[in-house]
Amino acid sequence: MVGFVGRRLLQSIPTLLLISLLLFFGMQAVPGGPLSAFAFRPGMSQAARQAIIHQWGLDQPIYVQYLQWAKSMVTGNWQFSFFMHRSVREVIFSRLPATVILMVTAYVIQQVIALPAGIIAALKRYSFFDQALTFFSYVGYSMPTFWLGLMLLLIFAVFVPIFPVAGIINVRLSGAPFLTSDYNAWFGQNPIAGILDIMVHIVLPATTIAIVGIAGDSRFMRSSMLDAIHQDYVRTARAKGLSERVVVLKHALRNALLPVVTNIAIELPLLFSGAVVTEAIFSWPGMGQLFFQALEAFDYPLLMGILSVSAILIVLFNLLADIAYAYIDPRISYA
Amino acid sequence: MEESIRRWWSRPTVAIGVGAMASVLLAACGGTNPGNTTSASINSSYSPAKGTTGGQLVYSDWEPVQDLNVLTSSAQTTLQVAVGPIWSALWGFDAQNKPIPDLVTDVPTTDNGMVKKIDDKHMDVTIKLKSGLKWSDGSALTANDVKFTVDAICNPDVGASSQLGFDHIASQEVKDSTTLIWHFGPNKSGTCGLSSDLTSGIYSPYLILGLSVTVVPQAALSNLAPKNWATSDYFTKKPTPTSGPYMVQDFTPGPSAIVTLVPNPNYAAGRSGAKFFGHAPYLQKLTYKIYGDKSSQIAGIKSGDTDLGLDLIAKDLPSIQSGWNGKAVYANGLLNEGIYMNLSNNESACKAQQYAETCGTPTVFKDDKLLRQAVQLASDLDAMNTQLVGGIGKPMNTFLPSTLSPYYDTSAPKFVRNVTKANSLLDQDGWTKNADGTRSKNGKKLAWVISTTSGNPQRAAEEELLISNWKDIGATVTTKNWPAGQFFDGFTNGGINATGQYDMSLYANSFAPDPDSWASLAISSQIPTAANPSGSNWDRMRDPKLDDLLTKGENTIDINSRISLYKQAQTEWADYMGYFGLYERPDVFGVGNNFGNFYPTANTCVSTCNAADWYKKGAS
Repeated sequence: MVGFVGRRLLQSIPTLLLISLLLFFGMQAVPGGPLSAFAFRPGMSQAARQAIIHQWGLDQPIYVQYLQWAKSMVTGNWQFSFFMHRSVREVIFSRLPATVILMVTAYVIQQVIALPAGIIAALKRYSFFDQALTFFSYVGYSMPTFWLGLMLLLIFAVFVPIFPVAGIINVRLSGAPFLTSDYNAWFGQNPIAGILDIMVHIVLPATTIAIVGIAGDSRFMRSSMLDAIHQDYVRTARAKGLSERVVVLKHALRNALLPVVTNIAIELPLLFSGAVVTEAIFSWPGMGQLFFQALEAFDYPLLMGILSVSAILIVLFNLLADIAYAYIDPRISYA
Repeated sequence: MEESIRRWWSRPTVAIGVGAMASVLLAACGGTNPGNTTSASINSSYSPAKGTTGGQLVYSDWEPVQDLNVLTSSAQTTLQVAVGPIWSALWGFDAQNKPIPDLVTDVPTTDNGMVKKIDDKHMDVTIKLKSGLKWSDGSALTANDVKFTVDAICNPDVGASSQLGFDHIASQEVKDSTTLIWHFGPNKSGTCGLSSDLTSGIYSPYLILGLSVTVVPQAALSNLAPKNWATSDYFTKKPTPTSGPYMVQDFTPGPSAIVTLVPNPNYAAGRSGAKFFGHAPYLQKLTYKIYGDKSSQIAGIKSGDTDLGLDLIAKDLPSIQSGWNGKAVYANGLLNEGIYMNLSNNESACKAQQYAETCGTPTVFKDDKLLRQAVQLASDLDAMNTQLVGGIGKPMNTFLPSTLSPYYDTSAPKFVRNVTKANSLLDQDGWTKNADGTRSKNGKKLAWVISTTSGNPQRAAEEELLISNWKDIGATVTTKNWPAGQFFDGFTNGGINATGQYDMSLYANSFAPDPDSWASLAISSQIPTAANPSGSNWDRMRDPKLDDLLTKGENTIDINSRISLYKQAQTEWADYMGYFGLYERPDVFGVGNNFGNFYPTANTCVSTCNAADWYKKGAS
């Protein structure tokens, strides 16, 4: 197993290198650039413009810029965000907690509902529950996230104001933005109030993300389970006189989970990259919104930082998925 | 805030050498005693309620805040927190565009002796700071800081968003810690952004400079090279010290930006007894919050998540008119939607000739005043306001907006659409009606192309309405719209308007609170050419009488004389008719019932200049 993991990690290095090259040079090919933010400042001198270009390293040849960036990633410096005027690492780590909190919550809700619902729908095929789930899935899957988010916002934050309309915290309560030193000090003194505040704020955005996710994942689970329960080994298990519970949970479900695990492994990195639309609607200070803004501002270092973190996570989670297979499927061995 | 406007006030000023002409007028005016009329004309009637201390208010926008650079940023989202809450200006402007003294004891005028004409080409403006002003860190705010700020504005390495008017200041003289004199005089090309020599320093629109001088601290910035200011911590993270009523406690930039402001403990120093802003800030905390998009902001307004919503437009009004603990308010002012007729040649195929005026095809409007008048008369400004601006815009009667007191001609007749008169003018002008209802003259059909910014549903609807209006006078009008960047780009980059590649354009202009702000749209020396690429007379107006009136307007200090000149200019402009305003575009705001002393304004003060007076109703 250790050898397998080691080999996979080594293999991932050229993969990541190739991804970073494609991203970096692809980004440079897009018309426009970070200096477009200064395009409408008629009073700015060439010297000031040059100073910024120099400060940002944009006067270096592209390959030098790439090497500088690669070096900064390896050494943990991660360069400086043009748009946010802070180090990329600082920006990403200031946004990551909000995204992780939102996406993990949404994902847990999603899987807790989607997996059992898919299994039940498969076991009770064509029942009312199955039909209802199918209907819900199609509606949920075809519903645009921005529309769903806005509807939830209008209904539960404006017309019936049960939940807050935006943000991750109530700044009136804490008196400072999320994760600033003042906020952290306040949170330290009021942990329960702080957690409750976040919980109240997370309901609508997490529900928005989860509803769409439940629709897709429940269909996936249902389909996988249907495949499994019609296999010969399940029939054999039943013929052996095993209880239905054992047949379903030990024989059918374990096999049905294989593709689901792959699906989860692919979805997990999204927990870190965030949800662009949902974060925008609910003003959630996370990675998705940050990525969109970085893209608009041609903030190369920030974009590269976000994309590289995502690429590394995808590689890592795929590796984790492969490892998980060994535990789920005894036929697979990494020896 | 919308990108599809031309921000006029951020462009270089007109440099006109008319010293001799101005001197005649000044001499003539010097004999009259402006007396109290002068003061009365510009005295603000701003009268805020006395607030209660304590509490927190949240105000919001929906577009990102990138930095807090009060000198270089032209982003309204930045200015809404920078100008007023964080930095104080020498003076601001009220909703009627009248100056309100802030750091100064009095707004300088000829009447109070703080504006003096030295000779035909020179004038002095005295800036008298309140005595005892302090920065938020307790250090003294002095005339040296004001001088330092003006020097910074004129330093191209700083990249100030506007140098408008500062190019007229020949030198600054610090008399003592609270007194500074701006010596206005002739300047050479290259001085503070001047594109050509300035032969006279008589600059009557000097009042617009007060708001631009949001004083920055010399002690904190003098050791930093100006070219590095844009990326400095002072302007991007936590500006300390500041001069406004609030200090930045935390600033998170970006699309979910939050600026947390706490009271400046030294704000009241030196302000005791002042008529305006003579007290410590009322609020315990003021938060500026950015929502990811407008729908979220509107939901935030209605749910009470924010106490004040800025940056809304007419079509947002129905969403916030009722059903929440607050009200929708709006203000009209210096953002004017208008029609610009190209009075020269359409230079669409003249790139190789560097868009020389001799190239191209004459537009239908060139040398045809009656046609231009008929076009305006046939335009249904009331219908446009009612149908497309929710009835809260103000149809324009003259080229100046009605809030530009005291220059707007209140005696100007209200504009009324008159198709009969328009048709009569065209008949008189030789445009004969054809059987199909169109018109022709000398075998040429009455037809033109109207252009505006593409992808803008509001503008598209306005075009549609106007085309339908002009059909009533036999005109065949088609559209050709352009991306905003290309439409508003400069002459050297082949911008559609700047190079004259159009027949008629439709867009909004944002003006400074002085009638001189309109001058460069009409003065003939400002027609852009390869030799004068920064010229701003994009519709190529060429009226000697208007040139004369507008030039005198810029060079006449006496306010009564200026009022008279601009009244004449409004009449002449209406007769010459190159550009005409459609409506004063409204700025819409959602204001919670607990928000005290919010005064909607539609000028460069962006409604936040009086943040020191904001208070929470019911706070204890």
